[in-house]
Amino acid sequence: MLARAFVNREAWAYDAAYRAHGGMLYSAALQVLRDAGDAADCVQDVLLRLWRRGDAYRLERGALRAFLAVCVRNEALSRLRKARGRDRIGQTLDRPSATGDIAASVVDRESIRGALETLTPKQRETIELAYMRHMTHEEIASKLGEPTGTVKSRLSSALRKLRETFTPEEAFDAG
Amino acid sequence: MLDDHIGENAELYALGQLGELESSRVEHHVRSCDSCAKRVGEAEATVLRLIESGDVVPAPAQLDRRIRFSGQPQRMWIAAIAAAFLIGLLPWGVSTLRHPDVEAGSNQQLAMNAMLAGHFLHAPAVALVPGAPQAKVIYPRESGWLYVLVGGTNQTIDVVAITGNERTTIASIPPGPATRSAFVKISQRVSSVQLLEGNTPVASARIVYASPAP
Repeated sequence: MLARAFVNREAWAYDAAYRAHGGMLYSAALQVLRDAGDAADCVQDVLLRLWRRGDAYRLERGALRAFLAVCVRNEALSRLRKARGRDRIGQTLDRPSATGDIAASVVDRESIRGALETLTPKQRETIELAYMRHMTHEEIASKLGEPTGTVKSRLSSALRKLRETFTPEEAFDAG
Repeated sequence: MLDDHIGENAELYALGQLGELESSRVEHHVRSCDSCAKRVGEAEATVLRLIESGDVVPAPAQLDRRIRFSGQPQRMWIAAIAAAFLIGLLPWGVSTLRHPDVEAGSNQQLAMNAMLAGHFLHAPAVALVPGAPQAKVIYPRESGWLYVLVGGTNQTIDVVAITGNERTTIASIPPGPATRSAFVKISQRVSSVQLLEGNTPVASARIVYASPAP
């Protein structure tokens, strides 16, 4: 009902979607931006943008929760990268990651650690650089000395492998 | 893109690896391609799993207030008094003079317009616990909206629409001494409306439409 109402742009659905998923959305932004104010701005801006556009989500896409999560995380990544650009990108990337604690908390979770262990060493390294250190595929390619096409294909295959590893309940019971 | 489909860009999009132009292409494509929409959705669900495996914290109250698309209560005393009459909490007559400044939900003008535009029905809420607030649901003969009125309460009341086994929170009514309300547009018929204080159902109204579901 909520997802359908979201598609139909019923005003209450945006409020309800926030109430249902707000903590996760805020956390998704906070995991990337590491600043409460920036994370809150990010979530608000994304929900407003989705409300104004109104046609981004379809039921065929799957869980509304996952759609919203990726919208917020991608916006947070975009903001982080712009800030990194202003902050001399090379220095930022080689510094101990501001998200190191997040990376640690992710790999400490047994199910995620188990899933990551199913990846090849190269896949695992690449997905960790992309997901946990928020690097672009161009940055990863430069760091690893590999063609960008190779890195992109590896990221795609790694994420698909992770999806297969997660149980259906874990991966898709997201509302 | 491979064969006019987005291919590996589905996973790269979900991982935030695409620039603005490529992201726009993906978003445009999945609006009309079911198979690619499904692939993007699966990739998004995998990324969601990673997000949820990290630190997940509640959103701050400040953000809650900023996000409220339904708006904060406004002072609309005429609509509030009309609502109070409808719920039967105020007697006709001198109450308009005694309660010129009652706080009420921001969507009451919408409710008034909706009620003036056609026939409507109403269902009193049955208390499920002692001390439950008085409440009433007004709704059209066919589906389209719900107007929920709740008497004074010191608890936030969550309004849950129930359709079959599906429960959806459609509004949250803040506490206050005066009659509060929520006007919610809906596309589906509901079978009942339940009011919750926290996780506890305190009142329920059965919704019966004037004609069978199409």
